[in-house]
Amino acid sequence: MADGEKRSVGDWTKRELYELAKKKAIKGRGSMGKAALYEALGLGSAGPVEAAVTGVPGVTSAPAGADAATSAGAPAAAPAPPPPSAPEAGPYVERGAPIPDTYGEDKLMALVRDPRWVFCYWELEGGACQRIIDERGSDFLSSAAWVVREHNLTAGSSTDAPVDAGAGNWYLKVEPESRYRFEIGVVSPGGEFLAVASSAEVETPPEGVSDEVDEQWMLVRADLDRLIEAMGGVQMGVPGSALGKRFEFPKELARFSGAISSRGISSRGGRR
Amino acid sequence: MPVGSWVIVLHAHLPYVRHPEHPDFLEEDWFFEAMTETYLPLVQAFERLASDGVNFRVTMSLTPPLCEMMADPLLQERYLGHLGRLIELVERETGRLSGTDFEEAAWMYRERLHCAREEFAGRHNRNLVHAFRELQEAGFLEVVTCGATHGFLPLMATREAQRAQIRVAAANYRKHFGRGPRGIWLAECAYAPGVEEHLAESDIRFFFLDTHGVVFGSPRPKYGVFRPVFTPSGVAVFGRDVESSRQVWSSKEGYPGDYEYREFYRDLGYDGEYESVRPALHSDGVRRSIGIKYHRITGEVDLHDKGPYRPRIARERAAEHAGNFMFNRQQQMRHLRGLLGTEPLLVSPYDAELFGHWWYEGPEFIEFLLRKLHYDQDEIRLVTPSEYLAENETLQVIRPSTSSWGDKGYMEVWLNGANDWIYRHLHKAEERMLELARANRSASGLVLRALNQAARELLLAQSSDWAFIMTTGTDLAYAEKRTRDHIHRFNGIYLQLTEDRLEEPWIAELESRDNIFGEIDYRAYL
Repeated sequence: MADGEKRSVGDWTKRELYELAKKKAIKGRGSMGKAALYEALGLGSAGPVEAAVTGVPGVTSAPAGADAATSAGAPAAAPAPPPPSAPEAGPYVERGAPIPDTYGEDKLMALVRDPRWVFCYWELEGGACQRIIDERGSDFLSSAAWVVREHNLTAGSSTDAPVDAGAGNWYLKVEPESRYRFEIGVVSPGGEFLAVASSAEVETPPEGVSDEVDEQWMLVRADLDRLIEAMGGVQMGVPGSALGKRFEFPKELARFSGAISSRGISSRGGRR
Repeated sequence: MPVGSWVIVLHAHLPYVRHPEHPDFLEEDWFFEAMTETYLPLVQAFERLASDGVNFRVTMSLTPPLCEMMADPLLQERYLGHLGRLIELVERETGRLSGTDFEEAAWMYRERLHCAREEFAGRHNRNLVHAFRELQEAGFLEVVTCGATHGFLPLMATREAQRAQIRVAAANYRKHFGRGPRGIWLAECAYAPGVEEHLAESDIRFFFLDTHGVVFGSPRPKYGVFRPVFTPSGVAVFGRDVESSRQVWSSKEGYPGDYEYREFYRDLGYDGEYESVRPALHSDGVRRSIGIKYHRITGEVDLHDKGPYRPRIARERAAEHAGNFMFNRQQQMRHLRGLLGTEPLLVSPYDAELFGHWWYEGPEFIEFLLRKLHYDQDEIRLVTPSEYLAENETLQVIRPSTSSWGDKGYMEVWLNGANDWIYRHLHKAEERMLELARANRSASGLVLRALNQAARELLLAQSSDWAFIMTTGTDLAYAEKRTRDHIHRFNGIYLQLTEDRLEEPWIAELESRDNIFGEIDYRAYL
């Protein structure tokens, strides 16, 4: 479907909306859900929205009631008695109470996704950027490029991945079975790197069978291969994609995270 | 002559969904449907087997949120109301369909629903956990626990938060089952090194991993997944067998797609005459699935060409498949025995809801399988993990590999463009919870209540279900709502505590809504 033909929020994937928001430099896009991105992009209303929130109870003198935001909840905001033909199922509109965009910190967090990908998110609201401006001038910052510096501690090497600081997060390609530490900062045209935040050490898992062998429990590689063959191969995750179309549920029917859970529904390339 | 042993695991889980603030809430249906189609039928099957003298063994994981829902008076009451409405409908249906090809199915629903209501309200006294407990105490089931709210441990920021999920789960298990849990089903089998130390601390002796969690471990496991292994801390790991999964999970090669089985996508809620089904729908009157389905899969045909469901024929098919499944396991065991030079152990885990909810005939299949294993053969021995460990004390020690049983084998399903935004909020809440716990080591009164409620809100926000649903997109708004609501409530409590201005009415409101884990102790975070 060409971009111009997309109408409702359901026609977009979150990734597509995010990429568009990035192009348009929508602020706070890193912590927006799909519906919020859709509306922030001015594509329309993601659905009738509840009245604006009055804030965290206790901060304002909001009335008691678990969430100042809303109470209408489920489609149970009882409409008038239905006409003889059934009404259309509308989108579930309540999206929950407000949460902060940022927590006012300088922070970089790395999460291992699989042997070849690490997910990083960051915040640059804790004052480190201001300190750089104070010490080096605002020109320094505006002429420098933002990067995530990846330190592969196992290989003893480092690489820079250019990132969009406003994105708030990034997926980084990495090596399996390796230890990493990450830093986010700026590189000046002269090549000087100033770090703003750094992550803890993380380790990526292996992608295959170990080379390490226990003498007490000897297993020659060829035997393990035969064993794996007898197992029917090493299948990552329970046969999900095998369930294919048969068990792919339209929105109304598939609500369990359990049963089909990871199985029936592939992550569709991991993006939705 | 035993050739090998078999551990069958049914993992039963639902996220904690309970909305007292609305008289009728759509997502509570997940619980009602699973009760009617999976949990009650499984209990009925197990009880029949027990009273018939069939010596079976099944390992069941019942997650804390599921146990809490089963034990919750409001949900029990609502479930009865739900059953009542369905029963009224099917009583009209048996009349309406009299003399047609659909009559057999209508009577089947009528009998089953009546039975469900009688047993639920009568013998089980509305709390199905008791039934599982009794079956465990009688020796037929081994019930294992799961993380407190099915939280995805490898994506948590702090070891303390991982550990708290385990501690809270162990305490909750003790409340429901009268003793500590011996085993655990990690949510999504999601593992990263270090998790096993939390298990050891709570005296949990075994857990389960996907195949590659064991096979890619270090050093190489001599028997692949066909014997459990020890982690260096002494906690045992059981790895999933691929082949026995395939036959049940796969739609192409597997049993559930058989043409005689019930078709999921034709439902009276959509097909029925509106005024007649209206009382069984939700208060908004929107047509949705209600679990009364009259058609069989029939073949690769359009929905409107599906033929009538014939319960007796479907049941016979389930019996055939059970026999076939057992036969294939025997073949597999013999082959493995030859290859390994020792008795193999097969570990076959499934989501419990596959049996009954997705595959309607599933519980019948299981009952036939367990009967045949008992009466028709002696090569395969059903065991529980605890029994196996008691008999086999010498196991290889390996360090398992980071893994999950999710699509592609790692974390992607829970960490991708649809849901990665949640983690900064969950992690911040973790940090804050640790801060709160450390600043208030012996709290009492309203402060104690607030700390405990903060712990509840964090745990509920951490349900891996929300991230999962965001990936599948099946009920995206609800998953986002739950995440935001719990983070919001947590942050609210945090601010009130740190600014020393607790509002009792608000805390009380949260306690009554997010009431999971009445027994919770925030010091699980210390």
